[in-house]
Amino acid sequence: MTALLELADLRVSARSGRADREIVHGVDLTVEAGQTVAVVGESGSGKSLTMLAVMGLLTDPLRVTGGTVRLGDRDLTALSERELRTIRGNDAAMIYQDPMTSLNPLMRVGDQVVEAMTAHGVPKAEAGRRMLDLLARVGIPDPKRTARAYPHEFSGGMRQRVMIACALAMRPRLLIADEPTTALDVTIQQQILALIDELRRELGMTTIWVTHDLGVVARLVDRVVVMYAGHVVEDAPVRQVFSAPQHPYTKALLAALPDPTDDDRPPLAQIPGRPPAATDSVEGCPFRPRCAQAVDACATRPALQPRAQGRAACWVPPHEWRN
Amino acid sequence: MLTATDLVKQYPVRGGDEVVHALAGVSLTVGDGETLGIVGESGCGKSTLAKLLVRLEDPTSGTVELDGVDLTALRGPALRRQRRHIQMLFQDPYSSLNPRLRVGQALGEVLAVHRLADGRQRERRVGELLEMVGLGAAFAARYPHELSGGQRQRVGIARALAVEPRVLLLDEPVSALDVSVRAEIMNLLVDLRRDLGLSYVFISHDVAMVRHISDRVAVMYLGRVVEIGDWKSVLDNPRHPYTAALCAAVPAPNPELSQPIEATVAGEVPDPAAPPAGCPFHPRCPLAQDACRRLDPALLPLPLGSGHQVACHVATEQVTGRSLAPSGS
Repeated sequence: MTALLELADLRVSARSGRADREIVHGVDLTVEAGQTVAVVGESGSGKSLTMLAVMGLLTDPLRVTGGTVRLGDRDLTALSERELRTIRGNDAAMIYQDPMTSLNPLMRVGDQVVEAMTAHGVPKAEAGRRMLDLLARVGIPDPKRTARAYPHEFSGGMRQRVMIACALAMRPRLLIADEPTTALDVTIQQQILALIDELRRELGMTTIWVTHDLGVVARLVDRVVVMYAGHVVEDAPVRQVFSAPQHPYTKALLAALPDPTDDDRPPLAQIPGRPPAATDSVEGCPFRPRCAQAVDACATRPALQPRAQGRAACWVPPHEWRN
Repeated sequence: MLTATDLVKQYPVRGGDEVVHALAGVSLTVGDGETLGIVGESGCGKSTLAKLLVRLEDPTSGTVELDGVDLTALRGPALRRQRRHIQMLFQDPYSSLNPRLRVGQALGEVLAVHRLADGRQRERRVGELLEMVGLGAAFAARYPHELSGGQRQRVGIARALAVEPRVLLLDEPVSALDVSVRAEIMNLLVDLRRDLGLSYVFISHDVAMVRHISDRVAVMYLGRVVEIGDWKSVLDNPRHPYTAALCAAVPAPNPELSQPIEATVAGEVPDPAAPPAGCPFHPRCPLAQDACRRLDPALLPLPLGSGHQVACHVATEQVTGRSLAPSGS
């Protein structure tokens, strides 16, 4: 397989005063063409910032301060905003939790889908025809009529469908879906997950799901990348992540979810302490103060190293873990 | 014992004679020390129900009783006294915490308004409350913006507990929290329930959390209860196709990964101002039959269930062998 996306030592910092405060500390990540990957982490883990950096969508005071983002054969960090605009939509697209952040409230939804195509040189008449097909494909009823509606006239689920139509209009090779169903009702969430997954297969898209709740996307992905405090701490096939997590944080995160097959309903496993704040200077493994497996070696930060069928950034292998 | 009987709430539709039935006749009981989980999606009426139970709003008809006292009939000081017994906790307490007040001042204010403690005693009680929710008395000096999401939710719980309520209404209390923080707050709620003998009404769209904490569960759809009963009976053996769809969406920690994600329920929740005829769920229901389009099913007990009730023609027929209700002709 060939790598479609390759992040090498990617760093994101926030400018504060004269100094830079690093928030994403050197992410190495390779996604093969056609693969489906989940990037999992809690608030402040850097998962969304990493993906915004891939899309060239960081805004002041945030910026990329090191490393490369290679998509196909181009390094996106070396491109101008103008060049990035041709890549976004065409080669890579992103959908978000709140469609209102990417939809224009003053523009009819049909026009927005058309614009997603004309911006990349599709003639207007052709874009208009394809828009109706796209709206139908993403499950918008009666596209001819509804294309004339404004976003506020739509439910959250319907707005999410419009955003998907915009994102996929140019058939990008890479789709990044950042918590696209978090704000939706359960039945609508299932509809949207199923729709994105169908379209992914149809278009053969490489897909990255960004989520704080691994359970939601577990059935959709081949591989899971776990982030903590701006670092990738584990990267492994999805089955292994659930059956034999290789990093203590991954294990703790899974244990914090209630087991819907357990009738005794024991207390949920807690992770003591808090993740480090972006302003804290962390030495050694960032999870060390909260980790049940910490040893002296953890005073030095472990690099991602091969572990079982994936990689983990931990000095202590699972067979040496205390329970 | 908290008892709601046939609660109806209608809101006028702007600029018309029509009304929206936010609640179309809901009856519930919550026993002492019991947790009733309420599951439902947008527009199901769960938030309206919460507002009626704490008397933030009056029902159009129906009653809410606490130990036989009809709260809906109370006014003035008598209402204020009763209101203390039922407190509400919101999804994000940040929106209801005054950003200019330190945590201790905010809690002290509640104690002052309800004349529960003065001077040194008030200070001691604030410390006690903060200890109770696992924060420690030192948090009294903090401002809301200095707190994490989980800490703010703990302050929200302390404030609700300040008036020594018997019933806590928890409206999506962990939905905005990270997975690991969610676990902490759920454990705290379970501990407080045991230590203080509290009753909970736990409202959530998250079936996994409702399953974790509830003694009984009610599933709401378009202003009514469509299924209710013992937690295990309702969630592990759901009879209503809507409950079944909600349960199927629950992520398992050991997922059968080869099983594709399927949207078992099509379409969206209908406009409550123009509910469909017959069963309100029939336009989205994979099992809908002719009778479902004509007749609104009543909430009926399942013969063998322990108080398990369901409002579904198909489920009732499957269980009782009784054919669907005859047509009205």
